[in-house]
Amino acid sequence: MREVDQVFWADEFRALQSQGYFFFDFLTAYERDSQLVVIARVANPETKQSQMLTAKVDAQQNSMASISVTYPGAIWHERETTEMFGISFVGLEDARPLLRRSMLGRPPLLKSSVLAARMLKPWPGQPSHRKQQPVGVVDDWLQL
Amino acid sequence: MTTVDRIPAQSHGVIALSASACTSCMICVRECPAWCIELESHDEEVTEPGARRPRTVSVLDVFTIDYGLCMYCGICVDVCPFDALAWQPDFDYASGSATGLVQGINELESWGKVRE
Ligand code: SF4
Ligand code: SF4
Repeated sequence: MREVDQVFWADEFRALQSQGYFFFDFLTAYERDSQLVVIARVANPETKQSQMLTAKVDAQQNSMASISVTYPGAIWHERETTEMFGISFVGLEDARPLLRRSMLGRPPLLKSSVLAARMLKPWPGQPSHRKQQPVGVVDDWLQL
Repeated sequence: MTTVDRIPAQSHGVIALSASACTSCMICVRECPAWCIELESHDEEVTEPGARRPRTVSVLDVFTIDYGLCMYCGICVDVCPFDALAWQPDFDYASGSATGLVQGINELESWGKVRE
């Protein structure tokens, strides 16, 4: 896994494709310590080698260059990453959501987004003799 | 060769429970990100021959996994300190109803026996 500067994200993938990395595997994002990171993997079908690249997303702009011109297979993944993490991809022509009917509300895969199911279903791990905060909920999580 | 024979043994097919190995420690229940494991238990005293004092053991009353919610991450299998959970390469448990995907002790135990 190699971290690249987000400014060179699209250039890096263009370079990889010219080196024989024709196979696009996946692109997604993750959040660590309030920092969004985009991650993608491509492979060279001849040598069976693969390259996994990450880049920190600029928090102010919350956007990345799209690699969908180089790898059209990335369109679906960039659409999903937009929908789930709220990151926009510059150059992605079709950014329609895949699952969400409306883009109102917070992107569901951000750690700060409280899922409705977490409010409605009691946590099955709650100890009987003391209150414990489950993992994966915001600090002020309140069971309804 | 059936399909199951060609699937690697540790494939994330279904989770088998060994109720006798489970100590009701609740670790899997608390770690499951999908909150899809439910557990209820009670304590029983057992006196073993030769032992000076009776031993308190936890006995499972309810242990369910809701496969309608499970995301097959395997965290429960990994965190169980007593190896009471294990993956089995079985996939044949589709259901026409949401409640049909909730498996209890008997069903979860049967997966282990099938593959032994
Ligand atoms: S596999 Fe993951 S989601 Fe499924 S019961 Fe285990 S911990 Fe929960
Ligand atoms: S972690 Fe293992 S021993 Fe503990 S409750 Fe879960 S299955 Fe039982």
